[in-house]
Amino acid sequence: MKAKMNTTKRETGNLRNAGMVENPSLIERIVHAIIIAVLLLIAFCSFIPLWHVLMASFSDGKVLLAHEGLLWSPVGKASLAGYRNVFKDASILSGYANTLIYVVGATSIGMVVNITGGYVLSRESKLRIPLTLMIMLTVLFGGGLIPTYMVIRKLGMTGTRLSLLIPGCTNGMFVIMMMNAFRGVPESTVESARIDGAGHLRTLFHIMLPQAMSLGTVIILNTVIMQWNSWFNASIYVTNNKNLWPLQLWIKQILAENESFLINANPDYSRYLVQYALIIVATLPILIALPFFQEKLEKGIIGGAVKE
Amino acid sequence: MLKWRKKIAVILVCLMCLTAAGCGGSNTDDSSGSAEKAAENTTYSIWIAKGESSDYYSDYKDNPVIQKYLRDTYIGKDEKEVKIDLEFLIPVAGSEKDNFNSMIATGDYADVMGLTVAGSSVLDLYKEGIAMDLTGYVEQYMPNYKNFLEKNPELALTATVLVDGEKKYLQLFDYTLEVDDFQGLCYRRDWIVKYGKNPVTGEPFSGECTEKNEDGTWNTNTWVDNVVFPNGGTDPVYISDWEWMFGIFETALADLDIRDGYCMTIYPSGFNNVGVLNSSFGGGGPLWYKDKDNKVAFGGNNDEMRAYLQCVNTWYQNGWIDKAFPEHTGQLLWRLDEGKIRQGKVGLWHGMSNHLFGGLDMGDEYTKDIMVFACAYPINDIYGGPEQQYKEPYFLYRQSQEGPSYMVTTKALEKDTIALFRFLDSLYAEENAILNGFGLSKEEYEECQDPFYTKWGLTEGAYYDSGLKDETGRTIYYIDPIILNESGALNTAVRLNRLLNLAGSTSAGVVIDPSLTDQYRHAKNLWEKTYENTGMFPVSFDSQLSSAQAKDTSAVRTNVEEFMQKNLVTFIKGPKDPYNDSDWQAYCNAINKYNPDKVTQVFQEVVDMLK
Amino acid sequence: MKAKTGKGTSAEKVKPYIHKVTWRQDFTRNKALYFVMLPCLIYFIIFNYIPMFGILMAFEDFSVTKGFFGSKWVGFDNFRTLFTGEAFLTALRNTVCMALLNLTIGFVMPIVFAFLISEIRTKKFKRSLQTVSYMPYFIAAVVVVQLVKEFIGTDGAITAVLTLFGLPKQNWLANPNIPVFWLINCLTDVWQGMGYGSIMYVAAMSQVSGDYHEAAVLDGANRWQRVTKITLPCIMPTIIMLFTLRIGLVFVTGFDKVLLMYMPTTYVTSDVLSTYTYRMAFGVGTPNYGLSAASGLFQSVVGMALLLISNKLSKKVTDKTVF
Repeated sequence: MKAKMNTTKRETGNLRNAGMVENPSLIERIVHAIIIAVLLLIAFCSFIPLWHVLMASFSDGKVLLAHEGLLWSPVGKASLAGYRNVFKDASILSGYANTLIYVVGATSIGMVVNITGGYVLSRESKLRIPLTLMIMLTVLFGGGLIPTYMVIRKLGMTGTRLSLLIPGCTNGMFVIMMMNAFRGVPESTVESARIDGAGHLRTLFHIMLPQAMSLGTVIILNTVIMQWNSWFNASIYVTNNKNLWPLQLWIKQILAENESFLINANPDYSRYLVQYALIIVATLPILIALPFFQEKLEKGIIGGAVKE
Repeated sequence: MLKWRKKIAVILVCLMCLTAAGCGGSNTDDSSGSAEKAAENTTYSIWIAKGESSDYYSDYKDNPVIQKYLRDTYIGKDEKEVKIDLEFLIPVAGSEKDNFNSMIATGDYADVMGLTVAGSSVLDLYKEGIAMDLTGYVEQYMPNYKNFLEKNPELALTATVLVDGEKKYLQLFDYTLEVDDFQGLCYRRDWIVKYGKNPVTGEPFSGECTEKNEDGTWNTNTWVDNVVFPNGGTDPVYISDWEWMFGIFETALADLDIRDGYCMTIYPSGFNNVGVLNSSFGGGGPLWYKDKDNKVAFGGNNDEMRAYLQCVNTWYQNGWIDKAFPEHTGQLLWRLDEGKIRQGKVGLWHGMSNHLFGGLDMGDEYTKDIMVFACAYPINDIYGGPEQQYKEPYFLYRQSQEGPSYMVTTKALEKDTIALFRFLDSLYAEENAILNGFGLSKEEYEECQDPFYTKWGLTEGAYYDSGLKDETGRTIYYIDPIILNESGALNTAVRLNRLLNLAGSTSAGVVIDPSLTDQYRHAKNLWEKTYENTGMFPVSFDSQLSSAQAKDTSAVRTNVEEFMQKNLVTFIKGPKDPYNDSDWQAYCNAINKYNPDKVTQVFQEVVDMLK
Repeated sequence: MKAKTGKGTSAEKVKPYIHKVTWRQDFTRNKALYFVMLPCLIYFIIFNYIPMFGILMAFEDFSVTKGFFGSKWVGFDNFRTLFTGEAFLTALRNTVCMALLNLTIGFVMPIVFAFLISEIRTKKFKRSLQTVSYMPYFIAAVVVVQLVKEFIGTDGAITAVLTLFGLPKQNWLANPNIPVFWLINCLTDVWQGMGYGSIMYVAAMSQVSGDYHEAAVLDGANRWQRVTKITLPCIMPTIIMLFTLRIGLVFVTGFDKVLLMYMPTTYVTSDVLSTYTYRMAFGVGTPNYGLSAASGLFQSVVGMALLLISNKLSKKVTDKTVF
C-alpha cells in the first residue's frame, strides 16, 4: 500500500502540472491570483486593528486622546508609560499564573467529562436517546446566576480554586460534538476491538480516541479560549480572594480604576494608554502560542484522518 | 500513541494534585497586624460597593483613617473594653449588583452592607429578617448620630422609615457637614473677552491676569475683565444671555478653525433625570418633582417641557449643540465628552471645579491661556408663555448632605452588637469629622507613623494650619500640596471616603485648598447658592415607599423614562418638531397611556405623610 | 462522484436493536458503559440540573429576600408584561433579523474562507494566513466594540473608505435606518469569527482524500467544479451538524456586543430581546428578576423548538441527525 501511495504522489504532481497545461493557464492563474489577493485582504483586515492597538499602546496619551483615525505608528512621543502602569504591581503576573492553572485544569477536567460522555452517547444502548436529550437540554436551559451560586456555595467551593475549575469546564455542546466524533469512527474498528476482548475503557482510549481526536482537538482549543477569556465566574465566586483572580478579571479591574483619569486636576494621560497596553498584554501570549498550537492541531487532524 | 496517552494520564494526575493543593491555600490573607487582639465576636464584615484603587492599597482595611479607628477600644457588652477588627468585602467593578444579590439570596451576608445597589428597599429587607431594626441601638448607643439628626431636622425626616405606623431606624446614612459642590456649569470667559463686544457700547472687551506666580507664569486666580452681559451684570442670568454667548462662541470656533468643537452638548437622551436645563423653563424637572407648595407634579409632558424642547431644538438648528450628543451614552452628566473639554474645544459645559480658571490650561493649541468661569443655570426669558418665563429653577442637581445608606444585618446579632454600634457611632462624632473628611493631621500622623502616609510623603499630615481664621472665627487649614498635585485619587485614599461617617469641616475648623480665592468662592456661590433646591426628592425618598407603593410605581417609572429617552431626542434633532402642535399632542397622548399620574399620586401621599 | 464519509451511522440501523432488547438485558450488557458515563452525568446533574430550579423565577414575582420558594407565584404574568411591553415587537423583529444574518452571512463566510485557504499550497504561507486570521477572535468583546466605534465613527478609517464610494460621512453606529446596525453587528461577528470558525472546515477539508482530487483533475475538472462536487459534499456532514447547532443557539447568543454598541437613537434597529429585557428588568427602581427569567425562558424554549425542527429537517434532507 505504501509503495502505491508513493507512486500516486509522484503521478499526482505530474498530473497536476499536466492538468494546468491542458486548461487555459491564464484563467487558472488569474483565479489563483484573485484568491491570494482576497486572502491577503482578509489577513490585512484581521491584522490592522491589532496593529492599531499596538501602536496606540506605545503612544503619548494626551496626543492619542485628540487623535482620530488609523494609527500606523505611535503618535506623539513613543513611551512605555502604559506598560509601566500595567505592570506596576504583581497583579497581572499573578493573573497570568492563575489563568494558566485554570486553563490547563479546566480543559483537562472538561475533556474527561467530554470524552467519557461522548463515548457512552455514541454507543447503542437503551438509555442513549434520553441521555443525549438530557445533555442537549442543558445547552438551552439554565437556572441563571443565583441558583448556580447557591449550589456552588452549598458545595463549599466558593472562595477556592475549585469553583473556577469545575463548574464551567465544559458544556453540553462539547459533549454532543465529541459524540459525533466518536460516531464517525467506523463500526468495524470497534467491533474488532471488542472481539479482541477489549473493555470499554480500553476501546475508548486506545482505539477510538485517536480517530476522534481531530474534533477533540478543536474542542480542546475552544475550551482553552473559553477559559482564557473568562472573568465573570471569578468575579462572583472568588471576589475577595485577589490571589486567585485570573488575568481577565484583573484587566477588568484595572480598566475600571483607570477609567476616570480625566477627573483629576492634572490628568495622568498614561492611564489612557492602559486600556491599549492591557489588550496587548492579554492577547499577545495567545497569539504567540498560536503557531505552536496549530502544529499540534494539524498533527491531530492528520492522525485522525488515518482510517482502516 | 501509547506514549501520548501515558503523558496525558500523567498530566491529569498532576493537575488533580495541583487543584487539591490549590483549593487549600486560597482563603483571604490577613494583611495588617492589628488583628491579633480582636476576638472572633468583635470582627465585623463590611460590604462596600467600591474601594480604593490598588495604586494605594488593595485591602480597604489599610485605609489610614480606618487604622486609626481600629487602634481605639470600644465598650462592648458586659461593659468591657474590647478591640474590634473589620473585614471589608468589595465586589469587582461592574458586578456589584450581582454580588450583592447573590449574597442576599444565599443568606451569606456581611454584618454591615451598603445599600446603593440593593435590589429591594430596606423595608423589604427588614420584613424578610435581613436588615436589623436599629431603633433601639441608635437610641441607646449612638448619641453622636442622634445629635446630628437633631441639628438637621430635614435630614431626620427621611432617616427613619414608617413601619406599621411606627417610625423606625432601618438604615444609617453617610452624612456631610458642609456640602461642597465640585461640579457645575463652566464657560470660556477668554472667548467672550476675545471675540465678544459690549452689548451696550459695542466696544470690545479686555481681560487679563493681574499677578504673576513665583515662577513667572500668570496667576490665573487674579483674572480681571470688563465683561458685561445683555442683562447688565457680569454673569449670565437669562437664556438670552446664553444665546448671546453662543453667538460669540460660534465666532470663536470659526476663527480658531475648530471643526469638531461646539458651543455646548446635552445629555444623550435629551434630558437628564436630575433636571439640569429643564428647570430653567418654569422651575421644575423633567420627571416627578415637588413645587414650592409641596405639590408633586410630573414634568414629562407639560408646557415647561415643551418650552425647553423648543429652546434646545432652536439651538440645535442653529448649530450650537454638539451634533453627536446622543452618542455619549454611558457618560456621567459632569463628564460628558470630557476629552473634548480637556482639548479646549467646547464653549459651555457642565464640568468640575478643577476646570475653573486656569485649570484646563495644558499649553496646547486651544487650551493655552484659557480662562474658565462658573455660571448658574439660566432663567428662561424667550420661549414659551409667561408661566415658563422668569421663574427661578428649584429642581437642581446638587450635592446633598445625605449620602448613601447602609444596613446592619441580622448576622451581626451573633456578634457583640454593642461594640459594633459604639464603633459606628464614633464615626459620627463631630470631633472626628475633619479626620473622616480630610485625613490625619500632623499630630495624629506622628502618633502612629502610618506607613501609607509615610510612603506618599505626607509626614506633615493631610492638612496643616495656615495660621489664618475665617469670617466666623474658625481656623483655616490648608490641604497638603502633595495631595492637590497628585494626578490620581490620593485625596480620597487619605480619608475615609467609602464608609458611612460624618465628614466635613466643623465649627472649629475649615479645611480648604489654599489656591482658592474670592473669585473661586464667587464661582462656588453661583453653583450652590444662587437657587434653592426644593424640588428634588432626596435619595432616601425611595425607601419611604411601602412595598405596595414601590411595586405600583416601579413599572410606570421604567416605561415612562424609557419612552422619554427614545422620544425627546427626536424633538431636538428631528424629525419631530416641538413647535408643531400635532407632534406634541401625539407625544403627550402616548406618554399618558403609561399613566404617570399614578406615580404622582403615590409620591404625593408620601410627601404629605412626611410633612 | 459522491464521496463516502462514514460519519454518523444512520438512525435506522439502530432502532431495531433497541426495540428488541429488554431493560434488564440492556443493563447487563451495558453495565460498564453506564458506569463510564458517571462522571459526565454527575457533572451535568450538579451544575446544570440542580440550578434549573431557577427557572421558577419566570413564574414568580421574585424577590431576592424571599427566595425561590417564598416568592409569590404569578403564573404567566411576567410573560404577559414581557409581551405587551412597548418595544417588545421591535426587539423581536430585530432579534430575528440579526439572527437571520448570523445564519446566512455569518455562517457562510467561515466556509468560504476555508475554501480559499485550502487552495493555497505553500504550507508556510497557509499557516501564517491562518494565524493572522485567528487574531481577532481572541480580542474581548469590550475591546472589539471600542475598535468598531473608532473605525466607523465620523472620522473613522472605514467611514472614510465608504465616503469614497459616495456614501455620506456620518457616524454609522448612530444611524437608525434599517439594515445599518444589523450589518454592523453581523460584519463585526464575521470579522471576529471568520478565521477561527474556519478551523473546523479546514480540518474537514484536509481529510478529503487527495485521490479524489487527482482523479477529478484527470477528468478535466476545473477548480470550481472540484470545489462544488468533491470538497463540498465531503464536508457536508460537518456543515450540517454545525448549522443545526447554530440554528438552535442563534436566538440566544451573539448579542453581547449589542449592549455595548447600541444607544437610544438606534433602539429601533438595535434593540434585541436580551437588551430589551435588561432595560425592563434592571432599568429603574426595583430589579425585576422574574421578568428577566421569563425572557430567558422564552428564548430557551424558542431555541429548543428551532433545534428540534432543524434536526428533523436535516434528517429529511441528508439522512443525518445531530442527535
